[in-house]
Amino acid sequence: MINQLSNRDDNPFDLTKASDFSDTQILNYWVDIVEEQGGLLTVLNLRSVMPMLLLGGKGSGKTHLMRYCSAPVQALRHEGSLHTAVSQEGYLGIYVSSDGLNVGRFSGKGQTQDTWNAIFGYYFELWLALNLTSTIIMKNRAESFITDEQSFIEEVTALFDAPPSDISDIGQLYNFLEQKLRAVDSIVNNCAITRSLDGLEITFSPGRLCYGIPPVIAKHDKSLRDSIFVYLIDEIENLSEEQQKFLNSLIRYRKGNATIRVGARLYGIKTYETSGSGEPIKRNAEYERVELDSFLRGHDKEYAKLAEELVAKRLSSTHTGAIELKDVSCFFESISSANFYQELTSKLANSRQSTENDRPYFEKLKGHLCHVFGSQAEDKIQSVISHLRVDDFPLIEKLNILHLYKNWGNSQQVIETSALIQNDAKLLIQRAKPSKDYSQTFEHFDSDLLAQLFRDYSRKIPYAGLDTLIHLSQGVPRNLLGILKQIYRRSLFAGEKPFAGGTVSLQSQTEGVMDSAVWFWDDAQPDSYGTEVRDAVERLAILLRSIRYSDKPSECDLCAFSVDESKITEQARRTIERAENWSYLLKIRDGAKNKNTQSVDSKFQISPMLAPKWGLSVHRRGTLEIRPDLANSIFDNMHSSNFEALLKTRISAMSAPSFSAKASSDQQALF
Amino acid sequence: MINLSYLLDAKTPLKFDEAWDFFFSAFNNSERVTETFKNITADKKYWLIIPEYQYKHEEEPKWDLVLRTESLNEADQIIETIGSVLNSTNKDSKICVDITGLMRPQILFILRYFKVLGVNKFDMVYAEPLHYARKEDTDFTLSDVSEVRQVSGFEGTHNVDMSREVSNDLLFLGVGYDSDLMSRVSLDKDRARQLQLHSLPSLSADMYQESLIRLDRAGLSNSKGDDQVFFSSANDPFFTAVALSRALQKICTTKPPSNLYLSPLATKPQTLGFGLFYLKELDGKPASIIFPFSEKYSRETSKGIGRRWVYPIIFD
Amino acid sequence: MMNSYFSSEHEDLAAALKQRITILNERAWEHKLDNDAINRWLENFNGRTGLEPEIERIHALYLLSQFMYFGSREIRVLLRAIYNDLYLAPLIQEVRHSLGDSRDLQKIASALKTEISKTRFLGVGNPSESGVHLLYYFRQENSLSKKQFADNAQIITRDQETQKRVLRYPEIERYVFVDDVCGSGETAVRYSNDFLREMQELNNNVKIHYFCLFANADGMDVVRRDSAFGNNCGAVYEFDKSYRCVSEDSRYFKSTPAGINLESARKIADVYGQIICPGHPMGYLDSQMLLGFTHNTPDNTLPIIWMDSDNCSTSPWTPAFRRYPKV
Repeated sequence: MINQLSNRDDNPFDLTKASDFSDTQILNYWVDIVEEQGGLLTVLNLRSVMPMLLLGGKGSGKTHLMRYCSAPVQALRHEGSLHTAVSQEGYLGIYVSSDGLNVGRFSGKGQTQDTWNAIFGYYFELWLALNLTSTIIMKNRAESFITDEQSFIEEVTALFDAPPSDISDIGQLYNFLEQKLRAVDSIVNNCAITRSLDGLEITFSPGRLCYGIPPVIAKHDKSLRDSIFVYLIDEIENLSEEQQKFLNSLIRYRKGNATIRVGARLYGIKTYETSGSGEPIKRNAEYERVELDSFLRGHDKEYAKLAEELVAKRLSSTHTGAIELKDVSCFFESISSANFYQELTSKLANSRQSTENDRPYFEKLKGHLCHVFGSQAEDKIQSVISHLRVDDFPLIEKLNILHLYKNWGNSQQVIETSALIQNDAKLLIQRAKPSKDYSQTFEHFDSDLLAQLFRDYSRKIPYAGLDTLIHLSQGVPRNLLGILKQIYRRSLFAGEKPFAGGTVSLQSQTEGVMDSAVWFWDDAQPDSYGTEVRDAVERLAILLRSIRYSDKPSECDLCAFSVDESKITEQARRTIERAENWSYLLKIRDGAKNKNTQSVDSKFQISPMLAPKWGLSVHRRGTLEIRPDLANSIFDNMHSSNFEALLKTRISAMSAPSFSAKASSDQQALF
Repeated sequence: MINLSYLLDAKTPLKFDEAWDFFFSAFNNSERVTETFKNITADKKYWLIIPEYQYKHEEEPKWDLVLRTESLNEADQIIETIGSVLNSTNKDSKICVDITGLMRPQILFILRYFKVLGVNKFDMVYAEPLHYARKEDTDFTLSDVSEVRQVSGFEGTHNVDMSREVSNDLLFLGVGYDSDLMSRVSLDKDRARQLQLHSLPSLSADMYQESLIRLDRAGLSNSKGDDQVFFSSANDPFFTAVALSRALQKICTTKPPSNLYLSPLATKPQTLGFGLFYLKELDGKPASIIFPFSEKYSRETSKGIGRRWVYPIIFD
Repeated sequence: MMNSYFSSEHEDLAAALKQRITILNERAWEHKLDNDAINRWLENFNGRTGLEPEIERIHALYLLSQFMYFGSREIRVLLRAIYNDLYLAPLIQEVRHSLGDSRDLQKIASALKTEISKTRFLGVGNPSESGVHLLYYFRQENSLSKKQFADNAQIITRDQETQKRVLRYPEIERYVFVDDVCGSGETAVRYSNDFLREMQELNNNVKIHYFCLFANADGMDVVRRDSAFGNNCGAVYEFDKSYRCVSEDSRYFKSTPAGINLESARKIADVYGQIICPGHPMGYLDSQMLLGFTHNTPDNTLPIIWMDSDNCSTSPWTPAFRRYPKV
């Protein structure tokens, strides 16, 4: 019999809705963060009429923040009274998003660019005016504060070149504006075939409406006399370069009691020039610029709370019984670091027990020791290895090997060092005090050693525990949902009964994380150059991975690099910029001081969402300084043919048994 | 009762026993395009050379009539090619267009263009592939998507008053094989609620599951609600229009969308169905057809020739 | 853990196939399988072909990853397609033609309603067989009245007075037979011989149609050629020889990942097929299908997928997708 599909197995983390958060939730989340920063008014500087560019990557919260300032949410903050909100907050937020304009149609069709520029500007201002009018109507719905509506309308209509005479109230004004917009739609749409824009008249000069109406409103509506009218114009990366010029002109010619807050993706601004080949707008003089990304990333605690709320909410809606917040993390098996990760590493070592072969890393070491002692010195080799053996703690064995590599030398040195290591290991295990050097090696490289251990056993490093998953998502709820969706699917398939009595295993979490890394990698980006960016990030990741899994890594927990952007090619810079725009790379605010040039290099980290794809660390510690040659070979595909060779050379100093006999410090490397 | 207005005409197998006055086809290497051109009977047969396939002059067919366009805008492309041949005197002749090699926006624009010109009766033909090359990894677009925008002629009059709190925009996606295109469109309208139209019956039995894999890769929802997922036949534009019509009716009974965006990313016959539906029910509404445009497309993604169909289009 | 079945040589491929299966399981297979079920199935393959067990298993896994499963939701959609694409659309054209190619919606709707009222839908086989039980969903999906459905037994009856065999419902002009799978076409031919020919003799204006969800192209040809249905038959999906999964023309091996080849796949299908189902080692009449649906797995599908003791396996076997036996 055909059965109705049971809901039991529906994935609770499926990305169904456009937004998981009600305005109230957004409100609550942002309130805390924003208050910490001195409040909303400070962050967006809403008491100032200076225009502002607000930039943020996908999921940076930029849109939420802008909506947070919009009239409907203002009202929410004040028990539904927009009137109260404006008088208390001192501004009125009019939120619009450019993606709704569908600006692609304002081009081609046999018309000149100049014509389109004029039409676009006209349409854009009508659009702002419409939304402004709509907001005022909303505000006055409960109680109108406009003293003389007739006079108000007359002054507004006077802003048009040929003022319409048949409008007597604000509702009719709204209809009038709407009609004008529809008229443009109709003519522009038909233009594809008619090749004509006949009938389209531009009936006011630029800036007249958007800056002319607010003073009129303030004059006639006492409650808005001292308020600032803020046009919150979002997603302007959708505008073409020419169209952005118009916006820039609006910025330049701002006046009166209105201002603009422009929202765009990082690098969504195509030009700072103004219409009619005017001078570019000047930062700080004509506009301010705020970048949101780092802002958000710094608020781990608030985000973690939001994330757990989100997960609990998703689980409750598909399972009976409300899920307590604190219960959520215990559904996920986590990695126990107790006793040098003994539980995890012993299981690993036992999984491939063999009488003929030693543990894989010892087998590898044997090969390297042969170079030092010669292949006939079996007993010497065994002696060294026996010094390093600590059966119960494979991680310490790895540590021992690393430490040995760090103090490599001739046969005498190796034997002596191995004995010292044996002693240090004992002290470490007893929680006594091993030598400083040895301790430091462990402190720095523990997570890398663990990763290498898994690699040695041909297994993927586990990424698990709700904390880790939240960290991977980098402050973006959509990412977290994506990860959990994949994990749920894997766990269900493995028969673990996730969130229904069972625990989600390390393996399911790891597989899910890998799946979501692939998803993140393949996820759509709003521009071209996909291949170049992905190839570049792939090369970078291979470099970092090669170092992590080398015999003697130069940096620990390596997922970040620094580069002097002034010394690399334009193409390389652009690629890095795009990768950052796509959140494949995260820019780290405090740049690194370049050891040679003393200038401040730019510092970037591979997104933790992607890092698992190459088995990289998701927590940043070390930073790899990349010289211009290597950087170009990574980020500029014109130079990418050099990459293999440069990589090899860079790694050679970290590879046993020769460690390329060059200077011990990699910072001195020529590349 | 089913919406008969879309079903007055039905697809019929192409038998090559009919003759037309004009035949237009987009030149590409697939057997199913070249064979149809060869075997069809028409007074004047034209190849359209479109820039997406990047044919060099030497590669163009030497012995046939050719109409060239360099433009990347579908309206310009059609007006420059077909538009240079058809006019008010010959608009009532027997016209046939092979949609197999055409880009989807071009197919859509032809519908609009013919309607405006007064060409109220014409045929479109389509040849199904036998199977796509390299099944799971079939790549249609050779370059990244350059932009997502409305298709000329299908822009509508959208609601631009955004002062209300929550957007009730809707994106209706025709689910196909290209994950990149689907995820790109989904990203472009990420604030909209998303509905899916699946091609079932698919052109070939194994394609339905393959499309689900692609859908997954695009990160799109696995929703099963019958107010979120709809189905229509991959090779039938008329039933596709019926399915869309029914879906719209259903949506509007609960809550009419503030703006409706359609994006046909599945087969070409389905795209044709989207166009017919739009012209009949959405003209003048806050609805448009959007598409992720790329500049280059693979010339041959399919091997062999499957069934061939004629779709009679009549604007009542 | 799946990992333990594959050494590092095949692990990546196994992981990729497993990922594909996991996705299909969630999106298309109604969660019919899980890790355990797959592992138990893979354990069937233990080197009896002479190939390494691991090679056998990776090929078995590949075949499984290509399996076509149509779930409850999909079957309903296909039942709608039978009605719309195969029955209704041509009928509308017929009606229009009879009205002089009219485009008058009212007229056509009215005439269509009449034609539909003179149609009866029936199943193929006895009432408990899978084809027949689909009729319930067919009726639901297409919003048809109970009156439109009939039982085979009701078509012909004996006139009380004359004692002659007559059509029970002389006003019915159309009989549409709905089936799920047409393999060899035997069933349709049998029906045809048993009473359809007689029906047509009693009234040669009666039209009969045979429609099914899935058909073997060869089987469909048999129906067209050897039965009273003639060309009045159709399938939503007709499978050509490229669907014979381990044949030379198989579409599943036109491009394969490294490590997968047709010969090995054929070997395991054949050798194990012989062991568990010697009569039809690669599916009924050598169909070699990889097909299943929510309510059953047809015997056209490779026995290695569905064979078990309930189906009288000649050797112990754990199935991947079960089959409910046709007793």
